[in-house]
Amino acid sequence: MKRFLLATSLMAASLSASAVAPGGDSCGWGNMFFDGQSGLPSHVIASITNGTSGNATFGMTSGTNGCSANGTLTYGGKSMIDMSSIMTEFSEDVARGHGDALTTVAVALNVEAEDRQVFDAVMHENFAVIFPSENVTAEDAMMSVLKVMKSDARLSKYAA
Amino acid sequence: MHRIFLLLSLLLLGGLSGFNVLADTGVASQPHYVELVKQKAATLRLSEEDTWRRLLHFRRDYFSATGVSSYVDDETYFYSDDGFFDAESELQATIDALFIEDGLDNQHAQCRFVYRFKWLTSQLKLDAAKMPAASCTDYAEWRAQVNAHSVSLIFPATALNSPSSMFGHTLLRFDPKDIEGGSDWLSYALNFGANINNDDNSVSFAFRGLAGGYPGVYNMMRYFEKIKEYNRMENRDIWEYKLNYTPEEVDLILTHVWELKDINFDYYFFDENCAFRLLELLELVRPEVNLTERFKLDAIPTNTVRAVVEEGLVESTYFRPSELAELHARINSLPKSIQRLGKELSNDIGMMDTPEFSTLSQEQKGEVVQIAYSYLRYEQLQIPRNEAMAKRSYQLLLALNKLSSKKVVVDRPDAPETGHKTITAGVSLGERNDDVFQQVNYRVTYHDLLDNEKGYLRGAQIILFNTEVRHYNDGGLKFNRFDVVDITSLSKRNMFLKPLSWKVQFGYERVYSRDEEVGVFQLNGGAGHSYELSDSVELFGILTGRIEHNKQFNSIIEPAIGVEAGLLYYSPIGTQKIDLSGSQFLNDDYRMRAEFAQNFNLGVDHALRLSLAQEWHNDDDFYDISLGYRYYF
Repeated sequence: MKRFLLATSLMAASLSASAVAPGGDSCGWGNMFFDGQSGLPSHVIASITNGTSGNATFGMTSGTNGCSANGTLTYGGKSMIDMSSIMTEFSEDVARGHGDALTTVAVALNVEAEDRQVFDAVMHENFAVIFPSENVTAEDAMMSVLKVMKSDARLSKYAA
Repeated sequence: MHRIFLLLSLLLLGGLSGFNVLADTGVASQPHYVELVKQKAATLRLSEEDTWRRLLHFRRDYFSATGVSSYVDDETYFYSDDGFFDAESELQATIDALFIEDGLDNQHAQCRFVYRFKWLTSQLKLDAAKMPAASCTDYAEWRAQVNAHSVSLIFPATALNSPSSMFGHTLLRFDPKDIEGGSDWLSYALNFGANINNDDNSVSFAFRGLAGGYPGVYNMMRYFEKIKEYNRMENRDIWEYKLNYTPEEVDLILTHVWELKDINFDYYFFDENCAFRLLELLELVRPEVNLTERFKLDAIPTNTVRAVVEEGLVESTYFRPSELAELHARINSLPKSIQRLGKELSNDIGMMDTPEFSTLSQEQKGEVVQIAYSYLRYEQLQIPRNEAMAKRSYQLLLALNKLSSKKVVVDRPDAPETGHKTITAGVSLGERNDDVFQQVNYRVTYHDLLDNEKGYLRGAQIILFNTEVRHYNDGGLKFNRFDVVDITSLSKRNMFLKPLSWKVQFGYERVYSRDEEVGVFQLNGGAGHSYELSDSVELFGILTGRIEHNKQFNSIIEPAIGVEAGLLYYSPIGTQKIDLSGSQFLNDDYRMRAEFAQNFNLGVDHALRLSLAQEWHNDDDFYDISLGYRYYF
């Protein structure tokens, strides 16, 4: 997560009211698309020892640096898995209409196997709705995904 | 003392048919039951069991009073003050802790040490009714989340130009049931690595990483974080080995993983590293499997993968190519003239309006747009977010949304464990300057440019501790060379990618200098370019620098600059290399060398190597030829 540190000022402006500072200041759903490398020297260090720098999570709800491992975005009253770090991959898959990130989001939203093709197709058709510009945040995009699902007969039950 | 205690407890039990009977009489108040349990544990010598020792991560240790000590470097892992080296004392203290009546929440021994509790319960037939009942909500929540049915060993392989990935890495992935119908991106990955302080500079790091100054900890995250880290950020292919562990065994592994949450181990780069720690977990629940025994001195991830395969633990293998490999495959699927359009489009979105682009078929347009997008993403790796690039990326996605692109297929290379083994020893016969010699050589690890490329990354040479000793018929026994480190990384440049190739070497070697063979200490390195001329031929050129300590020279350290150029041909019988190099020293001495070398692969773990070299040093010139046999083990 350390590599996705982004300008916090940019993200703060676009947070919607439905989520409470998801993931903390420097990580999580506020991420913008088409992110780059933060260039921390600790990246090299971390990769030699296969380590992490100060963000040892354990699959639990919260990591040690205040970065939420599970996000505080909710839908249907349940907290959502933090997929913010793969939102750029997701955008590419939505554009094409296929890919692992697209499947991942479908599974995370509990979309049943028989509805996945519909999910892929509906996402694909609504690319420009979900991603209206390059400055959309991961959270905005996720909210749009749910909105698009709600207005689809087959998918609405997953976004209740 | 101990023996008397044992005797007493045996006597006490003599007339009873079993512990549970005694317990059930109700005579025993709670402290009494604890004592009985502890006595039974001592009688059964439970602390000598393999499982208990593995749970405590014990190893042989000649400096320890008990002859063993734990790899764990964290006092919170032990209830007994002597738990670090005394298995019995820790067992007794653990039993005490399991019976503590206060603080029956997540910090209770029953919640923190779930495997210990489970194991002791079954070994000692503990009666739950006579024990305090702790409420382990954290553990329950965690297990609900890490809902695992099977486990895979994950091996992100080496990548060129990423020295930090030198030997690869291993981690475990826990998959839920029916992962084929779900998404393995959402599975949990268990990683063991150093916990690094961000403020450290890299010199301090290098030292501490190797010498063991960082605590190693386990952490878990969604597997997509790892895919992102390796497949994308580091351009490393990932090999995934699904293990044939049953759901029950997987459950047990996780039970112990929980015990290791936030527990510090010392992290050493070479031996007590990621790979070693994972082997311990795999052994714990399969007592008949002996993995860690194989790795006394070093645990190179490739070798641990090989060990796991050899022990018959692997059910199936899956290859997950890096994003860069996918980009390469996409580019290569198009004719050269069209490839160029992808590059241009990544720089200028207006390209889509040119006739060149509009005459392409719909499918080709999709591929070109996809290549342009993927290439921008690749470029984005090195730099922070950039408005112009983000805008172009977005516009490309809009275009891709109307065109779509195919799912790319990357040819699966030979799996890393099918390659040659990592220690090399050899004997050879040769002649240098009219003097016949016999040579033995030994390399601790890992792969040179000429070794059989099967299972290894082309163009990546990593040598540590390479020794050559020669016996000359006229000149006697000579220590010919000792390379501490000798790394070469040849990343090919093409229309899209412009990586640097580089090399660095440090060690002792015998050279001909001013009419005499002398031993010198030297450090050399360089950077340059390499290109692929065809599928099996590569060309490289490097500018080099060298410093040398040579008693023939007046100065303590003499610098030199030079060039090296070479051609590598990956022929069906083995790799061939032609290499020309020259160095000019500041003191006007010079050296040049031309070499033709050919490796003849004899299966995977045997090879013959021929080397024909000619050298020029100031006014002298002579040859050095040899033919040798190499064995990899």
